[in-house]
Amino acid sequence: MAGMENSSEEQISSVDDVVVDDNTNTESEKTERIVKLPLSRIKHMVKLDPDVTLASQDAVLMIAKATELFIQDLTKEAYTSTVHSKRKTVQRKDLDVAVDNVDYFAFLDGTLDT
Amino acid sequence: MAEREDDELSIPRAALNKMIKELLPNIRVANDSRDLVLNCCTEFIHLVSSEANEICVKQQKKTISPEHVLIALENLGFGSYKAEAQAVLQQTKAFALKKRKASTKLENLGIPEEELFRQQQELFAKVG
Repeated sequence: MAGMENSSEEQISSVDDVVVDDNTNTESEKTERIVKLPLSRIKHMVKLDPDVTLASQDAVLMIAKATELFIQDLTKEAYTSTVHSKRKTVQRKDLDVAVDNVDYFAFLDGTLDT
Repeated sequence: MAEREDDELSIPRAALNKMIKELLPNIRVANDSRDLVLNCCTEFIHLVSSEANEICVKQQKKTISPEHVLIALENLGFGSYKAEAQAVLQQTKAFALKKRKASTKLENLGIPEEELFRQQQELFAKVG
């Protein structure tokens, strides 16, 4: 990318250094986290769907991880637009571009208008 | 923490900020953009849960399993997330196993049970 010393690829750290969070962890000294998003919150959100009866803890964990990946994906894509426009701040229009460019972000089409 | 209505539920701002910071350390992200990303997350979670639930129901199961989530991701075009999502499951199991092993070790001071038993028997023999 023109004008940048480090490509955005190098700046983006992978999620390798994640550690473990099991919800039943009673030892407060070490909270290591496999995912950075709170499982309880995500579980709550999943259950908001009236059709959903139950979701296993492992399923919630996977959804949490997928959401993390989604955030990274969306942010990276938006950032590409930021760089392309030679700006330093990721703005709403960059998210618009991201949603337009990436097929599987199509479900977000109305979301950015709220 | 302010009371929020259920439909306003989203992932915590702080968690999102941390993730963005780790992903793009030197880049600014406008505040309203962060809010938008939060909303997108909410949409994503509902999308995936809904799809996973449909798959679950089709299989005539009552509980959404990781397998259902994986298929949902694939169906929705997020197949590229599957590998890491699965890896997370492995990590949980590995960690749980390690924890169990570690606590057992602590109790036995690193000595296997048969050996402890043998030592105990020896001690009894000495006393008897």
